[in-house]
Amino acid sequence: MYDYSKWYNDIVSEAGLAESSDVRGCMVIKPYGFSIWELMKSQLDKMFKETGHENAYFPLFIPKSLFEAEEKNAEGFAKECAVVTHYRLKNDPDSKGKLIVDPDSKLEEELIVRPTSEAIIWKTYKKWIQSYRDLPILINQWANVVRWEMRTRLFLRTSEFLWQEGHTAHATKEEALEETKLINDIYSKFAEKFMAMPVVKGYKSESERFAGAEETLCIEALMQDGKALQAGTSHFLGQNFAKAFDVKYADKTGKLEYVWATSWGVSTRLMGALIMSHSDDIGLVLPPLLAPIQIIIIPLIKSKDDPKKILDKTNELFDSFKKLGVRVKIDDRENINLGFKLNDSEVKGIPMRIVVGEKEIDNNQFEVFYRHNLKKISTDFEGILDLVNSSISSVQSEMIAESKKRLKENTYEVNTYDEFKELISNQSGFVIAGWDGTNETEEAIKSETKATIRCIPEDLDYKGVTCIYSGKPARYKVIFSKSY
Amino acid sequence: MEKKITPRNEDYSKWYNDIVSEAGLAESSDVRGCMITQSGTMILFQKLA
Repeated sequence: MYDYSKWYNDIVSEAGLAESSDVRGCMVIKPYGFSIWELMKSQLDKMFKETGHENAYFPLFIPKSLFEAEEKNAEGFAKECAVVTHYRLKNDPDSKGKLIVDPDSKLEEELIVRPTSEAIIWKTYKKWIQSYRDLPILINQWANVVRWEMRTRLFLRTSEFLWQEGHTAHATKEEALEETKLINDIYSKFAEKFMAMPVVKGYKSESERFAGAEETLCIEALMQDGKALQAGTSHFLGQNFAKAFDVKYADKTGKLEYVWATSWGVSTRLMGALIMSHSDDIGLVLPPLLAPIQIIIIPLIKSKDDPKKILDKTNELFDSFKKLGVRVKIDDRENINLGFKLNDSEVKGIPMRIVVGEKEIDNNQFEVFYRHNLKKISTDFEGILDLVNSSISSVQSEMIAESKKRLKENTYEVNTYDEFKELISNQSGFVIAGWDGTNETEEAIKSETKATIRCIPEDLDYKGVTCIYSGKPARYKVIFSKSY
Repeated sequence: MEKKITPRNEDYSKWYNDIVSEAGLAESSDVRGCMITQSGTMILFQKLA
């Protein structure tokens, strides 16, 4: 029986990426999972800094009066907010060793645990922005946020998650729009080049937009089960937050204008996307650029062997890989048999593996095993470094090509609602179709088929196309799919 | 405008606050006891980590 969801949970658990915790909907990210996240983080951080952004840190708590200032944003997130009402516990007089909330510590004003930080940041920007000389402000924050979720899944949807949120302030609308696009392009490039996960870029329909945004750009990836996953969003916020927090700047002539804003984010959800993009029935598969261990060396010492000879060779290899900047590890755990170690490296998705034993050394013949296609390439000792070094980029390219092929093969274009329903009910992938641009049509399609508009790509020509649902002239060609 | 930093022998605590503020390291926020860490400090903090 096909159970994609159980397969996903098994991968997360068996590869040692994360586990659920005693806090409902909150997960523990384990060291191996966290080191993948750290690689993603450092690459994204580099890309943000290369484009002029700086990191800063804002408070976890947002006073309720600030939170409610931008009404649409507040309304959109209100139903999933954790709220701090007290700041102290005390001993329970009726039950020894137990604590109760001290009623005397009730806060005058409740604090909201940030579900996103626009409010606290724009309140701060008001202090920082007076004139055009103070602009643009290009700030990013790496943080945790809390959105109370009823149905959670490891990495894909958790009540607390880690993310980066960029918040920029600009003098002109054009500059803010450019920033929104620049970031969406960075996300798209990161997803394709580093995660080996090609994405579709486009605009969100109004109903799927971020609460408080004028326009939301997004990247959407296609998972192996034919469902879409929103992997990143970049919002053009117009002057909504500037108006809510009264943030104005004096232009060169001294005239006061409201400031233009963007915000953008990707989260630990990317971990879920990465897992679902490449893994197979054996376990996790990782692209080399995001693999905490790119190659594992397993010394194989049998009872009749000279351990020193094998360990010396192993260490020699290890040192050479280190020198090359390859992320390498030796699995020298004792009392664990070879079969277990081989399986372990496959379940964890380590891209390459070499076993070093007496036979390999005596014959000067070593095999590099590749996790992504399960193939082996033989080489003599002298050739190992070159092979492994060049394999990092070639495996990465092969995985990108494979994902692109899958995306292409599972993207359909239809002209009739019957064809559309057939594809969606089989969960076939992305379905491109004409849409009349109305909320009613979008809602009707969603309630009849569970498919939503994932995005409106910028470059699809809709001239002469009709809406698959209403039969009216299409305003856009859009991508529909069921989604995570 | 020249930045005004209180001399240490006059008021050490005020001197500390002036350094944090004038060097653009952090500022207090609208949340009691929570601060905003500015970009320069984040770089310093990342180097310490």
